[in-house]
Amino acid sequence: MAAGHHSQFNHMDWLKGIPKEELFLLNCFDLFGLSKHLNLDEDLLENRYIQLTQKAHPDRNKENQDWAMVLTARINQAYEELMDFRLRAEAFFRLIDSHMGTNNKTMPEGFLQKVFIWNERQEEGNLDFDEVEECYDEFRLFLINESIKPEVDQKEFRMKLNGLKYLENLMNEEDV
Amino acid sequence: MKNKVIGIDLGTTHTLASYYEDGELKVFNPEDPLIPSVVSYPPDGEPLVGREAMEYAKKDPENTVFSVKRFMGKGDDSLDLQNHRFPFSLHPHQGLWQVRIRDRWVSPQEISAHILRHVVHRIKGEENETQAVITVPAYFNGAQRQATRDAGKIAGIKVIRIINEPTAAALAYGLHEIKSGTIAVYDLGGGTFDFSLLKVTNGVFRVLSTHGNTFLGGDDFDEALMADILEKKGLSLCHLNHKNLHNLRCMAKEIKEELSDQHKVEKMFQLEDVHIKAEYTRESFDRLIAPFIKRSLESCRRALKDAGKRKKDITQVILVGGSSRVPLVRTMLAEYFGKELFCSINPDVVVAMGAAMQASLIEDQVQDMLLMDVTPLSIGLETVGGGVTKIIMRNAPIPAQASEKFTTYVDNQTAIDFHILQGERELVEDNISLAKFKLRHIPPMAAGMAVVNVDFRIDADGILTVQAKEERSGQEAAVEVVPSHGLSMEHVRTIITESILHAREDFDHVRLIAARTDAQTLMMATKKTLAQNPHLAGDEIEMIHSYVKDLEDSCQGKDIAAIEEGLDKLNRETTILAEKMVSNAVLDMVKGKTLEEISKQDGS
Repeated sequence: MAAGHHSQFNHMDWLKGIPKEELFLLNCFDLFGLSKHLNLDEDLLENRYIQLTQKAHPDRNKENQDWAMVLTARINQAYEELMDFRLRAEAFFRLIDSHMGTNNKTMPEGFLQKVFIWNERQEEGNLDFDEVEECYDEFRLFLINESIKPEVDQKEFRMKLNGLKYLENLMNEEDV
Repeated sequence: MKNKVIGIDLGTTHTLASYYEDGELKVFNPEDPLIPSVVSYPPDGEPLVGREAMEYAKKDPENTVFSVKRFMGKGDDSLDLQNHRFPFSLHPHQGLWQVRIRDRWVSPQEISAHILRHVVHRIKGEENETQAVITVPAYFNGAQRQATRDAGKIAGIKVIRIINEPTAAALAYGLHEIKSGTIAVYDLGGGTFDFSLLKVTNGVFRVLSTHGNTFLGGDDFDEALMADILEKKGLSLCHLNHKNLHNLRCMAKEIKEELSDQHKVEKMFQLEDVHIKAEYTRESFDRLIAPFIKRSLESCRRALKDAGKRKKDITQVILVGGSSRVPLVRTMLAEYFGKELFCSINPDVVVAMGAAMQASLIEDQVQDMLLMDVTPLSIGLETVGGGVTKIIMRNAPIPAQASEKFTTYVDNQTAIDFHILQGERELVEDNISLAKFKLRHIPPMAAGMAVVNVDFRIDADGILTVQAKEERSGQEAAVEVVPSHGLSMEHVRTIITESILHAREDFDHVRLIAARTDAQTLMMATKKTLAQNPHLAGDEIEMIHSYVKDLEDSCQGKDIAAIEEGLDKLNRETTILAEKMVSNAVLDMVKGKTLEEISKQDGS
């Protein structure tokens, strides 16, 4: 499916050929005609999101309400998925994963010990959030770089991606 | 004005209508567009609406209803009326807050329908079928939206869309004034407050987040003033009768409004034979109302956080709602956002105009704009132990669709109960109960074998439908969601036709079909099980066969109670049968073994 090369107009035609039941099986990269890696141009995504929605929205498809509603719902869902880095990485992993599955819970070496210390510090109220953010950025960069390579190191990718969730939880605590 | 779709702002204090004509938004009756959202029920004759009702209220406040929007779609457990003294008699009745007018109950939907009908008749006369877009506060939950829709239906209006008030306001400004960027809409009405963030890109209006408070508005300013006036004389609001309260409320409103362009206001209030002087400067009034405005700013902060935006990202701030005229509101907002405020369209009519704009967008009269809304509250399901699983998150763009898989909990379970909730809290009891439904006719199988896919869909109106399907058997079972705090479909139909008899028949018919289908499923499963299991004693089989026969017989008739009773009996007996089958299987396993061997087996 070389959806990425279609012009927007053709892209919509291509979507129109997909039955309602299969719209939710479509991966989020193909849906927006984006190349499959994590280095996402968010402005491009937003542009395509709006262009597609303008054509797909039920208000613009009087004669095909049900299909338009499902397509718009899928576009909305995929947009939210792509805008969130961790969800985007999960979506990417589902595409390349050959044997690990999403239930794999392994962590990078030494990572759990680190999280354990951070959790303790956080309870004591002296956690350095910059340190957590630094680790997050390191993981994020690794995942982006890996996603561009022709052969992704699936094991390492899965572990760092698992680690992201812990880091996100820690960083969310800062807002509370 | 015959076939146009109209936009209606069904407000807590005022209602008004607008329409789109010749490329322009027009308000109906522009000299005096605001119809008070007040309905009176004189002992004989038709209900009175608007000014007439206000007039009537002076002599009969007990049979005059106002602020009906405050209890639209509210279940008896979800409304705290402690702080709201209504002169009319408001009570929980059949799971809803309803008004007692002499010897009958009137639902909020019916009262709202009277208002809507009045508005539509003024515009279109009695003949024409009307289509309308009606606005609701962004913070309204599914039950409240459904209640609004039902009100339209009862009034004989075809409601083509329910949209959020703040979004409507931004649409009314249109593309002439709204530039691409992030827009904040601050809507402080009489009774409700809403704050929304919108992103506008090439004519697409996209709601990013929304937050609000269904109990915050100009009415609070009035009440604060009323309490303050009385307090100076050592009195409180509870000392006043309805008539005095009404008069004091009117005076407080006058003081508030006059203080918007005067610095000092003086009024006399006559309480029976005592005269009370009320003297307020803008400063003394500001002190009374500042806490309420601070609460509104808290909602702004949360909406910003939800959208991942900062105050500096906001490009324009739009003011909506009559209470946004209060000078302190404008001062505090300008200070908070550090931006110029948009208020060139009368904040009282801007929402109705936006509704008319949306109506014309749907009707294809204007093609360069599109509105994309979000759902204001998360939607989820009750899980074992009183927890909640969120299926669609708050502020998700709509239409939205999501699904979740469930399975059975015990062997041969033929039904699963689903409880749909709306809200952000972790526990069921802290959320709004939207609906409950049962998926029946699951073929009997071992626990955990059934695969039930539950599909959640929120349409462009923000209204939710849920469907469940058992996938393993390929058998599809459709379910209907009845909002637990709205009127049921039967109820709405009852009001429309005003024929309780027919609705009763319909309801019974549905029940009869459901009971018969349940019976068929159970009988088939039972027969199959009996055929496959030779372990059972002859008298047990005979007993079950006789129950099946009884049930078959009652299914021929129309006596629902008889079918349900037979179903119950057979269900009880087959449960015992299932237990026996399990113990027989255990017997097989342990046959010829000593007690010691068995306990060893258990321990391993």
